[in-house]
Amino acid sequence: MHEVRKKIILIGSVGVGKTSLIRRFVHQEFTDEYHSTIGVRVDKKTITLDDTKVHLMIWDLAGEILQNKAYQAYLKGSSGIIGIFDVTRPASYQLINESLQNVKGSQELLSIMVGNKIDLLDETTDIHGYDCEYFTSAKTGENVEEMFNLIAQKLVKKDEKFKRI
Amino acid sequence: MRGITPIDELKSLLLQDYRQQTERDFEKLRVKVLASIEKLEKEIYEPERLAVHISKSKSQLLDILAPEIGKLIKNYLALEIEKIQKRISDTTDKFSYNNVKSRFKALFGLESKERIDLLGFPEIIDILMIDKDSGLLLGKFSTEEKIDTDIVAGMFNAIKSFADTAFENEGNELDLIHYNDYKIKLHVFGSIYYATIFTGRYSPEFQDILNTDINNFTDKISKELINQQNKEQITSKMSQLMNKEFTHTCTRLERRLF
Ligand SMILES: Nc1nc2c(ncn2[C@@H]2O[C@H](COP(=O)(O)OP(=O)(O)O)[C@@H](O)[C@H]2O)c(=O)[nH]1
Ligand SMILES: [Mg+2]
Repeated sequence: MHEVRKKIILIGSVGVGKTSLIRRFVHQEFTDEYHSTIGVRVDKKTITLDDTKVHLMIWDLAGEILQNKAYQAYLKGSSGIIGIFDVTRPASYQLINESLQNVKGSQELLSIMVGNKIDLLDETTDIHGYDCEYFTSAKTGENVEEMFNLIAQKLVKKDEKFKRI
Repeated sequence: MRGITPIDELKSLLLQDYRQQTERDFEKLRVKVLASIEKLEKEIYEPERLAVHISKSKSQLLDILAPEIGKLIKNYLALEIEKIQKRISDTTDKFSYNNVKSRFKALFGLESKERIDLLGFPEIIDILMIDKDSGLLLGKFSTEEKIDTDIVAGMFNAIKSFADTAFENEGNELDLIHYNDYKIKLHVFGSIYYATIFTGRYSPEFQDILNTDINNFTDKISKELINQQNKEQITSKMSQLMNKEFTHTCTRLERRLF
């Protein structure tokens, strides 16, 4: 069994459910004290995949991305980005789609798009217009584990590919 | 009048000369002091009477706090005083915690935090080696396993990034963070840095020992770091090396100071 540590970043407009999604997924040890001041909080979730322990270090960025100078520093050294939007707010989808491209820039980053608050839509609502990997609900827990697991898997796979080259 | 009171016993124990003593003597002493304090507490269970007693022996107790007394005793006393304080405030409705606190303040002429600072010999809790970009933990030396060092490393990195950005124009990087009763000293080396979490004062002796040891260690492992392609996997090996090295630092620190 070997261990890896990976930094992933959650971005998305205020209120789309970034913090709630992390709460669903990890046991939180730290208070919100710093979150509002420095605009980020770090959490951890360890996922075991076959013979690899992946420690996901999840950075929850508060507020609007790219406006705060420190945010550029927060993005450094990350292996993956999760762009989150609120399925009931199409504007949050547009915004995050653009931000994600900007944030990624030329970096070799894994990124996925996630539509959250799926519990608020009834079955008849058409969500095919959204191009994203997962629809989640931080409220019911739907797809939350799966989404983070997928990220861990993809990151480990990426490493293996890198090793073979 | 009684013969030897518990507080006399305690004083006589504490006012001995400890400088010649070995660690085992200290342990024996610690047990005796503990017993003595317990006796004292049992006997003087009323807060007011306890306060009077301590007040009467104020000057002797301040002697006890004089610098030549061993660290163990000092920390121990601080802890015990804190405990007594707490017990008093927990068990009495009449006396609010603040009341008791101000009483102690009057007795010792110091606020509790100042008192701890006065007693405050530096003590290393953790030394974390952190990747400067990602905030990922590269290795750690831990004296207690209370905190999740991965999260702490990440949070430091965020705080540091934030502060460095904010002070950008002043041209100085953040290097000492205060967090509750802890202080965190940062040593930056290119793409990595160390965060030393400690309690007590960042005294010149402490600075000296810490700087030397961290520099030496970095010299030793720099090849290792360069050769390691994937920094994300370095942690356990590096932690072993750090454990070996910084256990010495703690020992030297204690020897130098006492
Ligand atoms: N119904 C529903 N509400 C959610 C969901 N996720 C978050 N919320 C609510 O949306 C609000 C904003 O969530 P928060 O996690 O603070 O968003 P953040 O600003 O992106 O961190 C809160 O009131 C949450 O309770 C979800 O999946 N379903
Ligand atoms: Mg939030």
